[in-house]
Amino acid sequence: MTAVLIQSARITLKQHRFEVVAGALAAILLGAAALWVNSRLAAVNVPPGCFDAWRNSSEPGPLCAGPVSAFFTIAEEAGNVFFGMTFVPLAAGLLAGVTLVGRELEARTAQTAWGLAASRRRWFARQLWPILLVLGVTVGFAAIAASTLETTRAGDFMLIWRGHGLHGPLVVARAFAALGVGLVLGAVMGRTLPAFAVGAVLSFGLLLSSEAARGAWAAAQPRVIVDEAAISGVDALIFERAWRAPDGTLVTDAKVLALVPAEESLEPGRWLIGQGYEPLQLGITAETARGWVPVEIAGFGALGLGLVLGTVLVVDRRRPR
Amino acid sequence: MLQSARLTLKQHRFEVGAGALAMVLVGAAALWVNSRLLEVIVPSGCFEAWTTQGPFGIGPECEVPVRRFGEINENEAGKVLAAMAILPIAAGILAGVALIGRELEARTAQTAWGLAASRRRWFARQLWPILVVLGATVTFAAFSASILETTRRVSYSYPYMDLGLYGPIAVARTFAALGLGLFVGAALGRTLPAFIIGAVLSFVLVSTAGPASYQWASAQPRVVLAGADADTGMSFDSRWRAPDGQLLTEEDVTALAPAGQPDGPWQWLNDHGYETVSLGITAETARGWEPIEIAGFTVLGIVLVLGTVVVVDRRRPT
Repeated sequence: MTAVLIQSARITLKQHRFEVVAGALAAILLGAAALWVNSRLAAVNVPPGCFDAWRNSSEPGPLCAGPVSAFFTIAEEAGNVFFGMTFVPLAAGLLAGVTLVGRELEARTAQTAWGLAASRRRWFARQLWPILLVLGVTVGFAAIAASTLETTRAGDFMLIWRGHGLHGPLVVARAFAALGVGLVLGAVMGRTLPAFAVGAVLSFGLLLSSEAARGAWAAAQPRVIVDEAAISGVDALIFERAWRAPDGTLVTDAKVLALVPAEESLEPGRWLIGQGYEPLQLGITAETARGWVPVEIAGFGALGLGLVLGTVLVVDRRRPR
Repeated sequence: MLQSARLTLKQHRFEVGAGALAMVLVGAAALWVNSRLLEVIVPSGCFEAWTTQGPFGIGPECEVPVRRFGEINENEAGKVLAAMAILPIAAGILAGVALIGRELEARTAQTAWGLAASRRRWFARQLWPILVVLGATVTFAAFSASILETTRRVSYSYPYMDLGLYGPIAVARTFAALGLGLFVGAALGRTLPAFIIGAVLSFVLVSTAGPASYQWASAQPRVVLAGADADTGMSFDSRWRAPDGQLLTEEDVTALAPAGQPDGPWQWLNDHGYETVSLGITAETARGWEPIEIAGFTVLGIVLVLGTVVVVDRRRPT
């Protein structure tokens, strides 16, 4: 049984060698590049406190200036790696997905392949698992390597959503969703190139939707009072300014400004503070904001799973022209 | 002739339709964004005031329209030109790889080539309708993007800003991408791998055009950039101009200032008629690169199309 499975996997990988190898190779190269840039960043060895000195002063001192400058020069190279991480996992998933069923239909070999298999579902499962395994391992490697790089390049200045979706498990989830998109489109259209082009547009649309959903989710979270010194995007996501009235109630900026007399309208803040109002910032903490990551992973994972199951339905019912 | 063109376009309707539609949509978007930019009436002198004094140094009569112009420019015009960076090339490769690659992949090349008077004639008959449709739609998009670029350049200008994303260079790039697609499609005989390889090669080609243009510009004879040229030209170096007009390096002028100046040598030099000037090339000289890039991509496209003829002539139709 195992020998048959391995033999079938070997044939599948050979049949789709260009698409699988191109995707896997790109992911491996990107992962290796991430590790290489990471090792160079780590070798700079910025003395403790230098990032703070650099942020708070235009002249951080001779002990810090050299290492911080070298660190940021190399960190720019990291930008190229993350640029690659935006496209490669999605392209690898899509590329492998559209060919798996789409090529059989395009080359008119599906009739024979499906006819010889015990069932179409079993045929599909046998085709899918080697691709899942190879892509999972290589994209997983790239995602882990990119995570390491992201941690190193952040220094001690970790922006909440910088590099979002370009490292860690979310990359694997996105690649899986792209594979699902490719599978279902390839199976429905029966032509690989049009399926890839449509899949690329849909994947781009999916990414944009996930960005919009992330913003909407963050805005819908219960807002808390954020420390006055907090920097939006680093310590918290600040959405609005509010005021604590002398009686302790929270009043929105718009409401409280209506209380300001016309003659004080040039400097309303000073007048309000004089009246005992305390300015506040409302938003969500960094911890709450990072709660989006598992939601997005689950979303892309579920989408990928749904699309793979959708492909099973298409394979089950479609005419193998 | 027309019947054969109709068949070709029908056969490759997805690739040609997708590419042409994308180009028409981008072109229409460029014209729409351009009209929105033109609707914002920015009083004369406001952009200059914004550049020199910043957003808080100018009054609301300037700040509001300049901000509005900037928002449309960043959010909408930027997206149109970003699309112009990818879509014309994608349209060229998509149509190119399908033209011969699909015949080989579907194993219909043997019949098609066997029925044609000659393979070359078959190829010419396949190619021209695609060239006409893509040429017309990409030219429309490139022309519209040129209009948009002219409008958005009011606020800021740099000779190589958005170079290749509008005008004849965009058309030349598409033609080169089409040639690349044709050649790779004919050589590989499989559309999807050919598309991927074509996309990677196009990315490399376009990426090399940027540094090449800068290298060419930096090799041009440098002049003193003064007046409007200082704002619109490309500066590579700076010098000190002596009262007699002689250009001196920083090393030369610091030696001229007597030692122990209370405010340093620079104040002494300024007081004695020395001034810093930028050395570089004017916008007009910099634009001399454009015909070179157009010619380069066109020649590459022609060579690749001719290379495809050779492949079609000699390859096995399987």
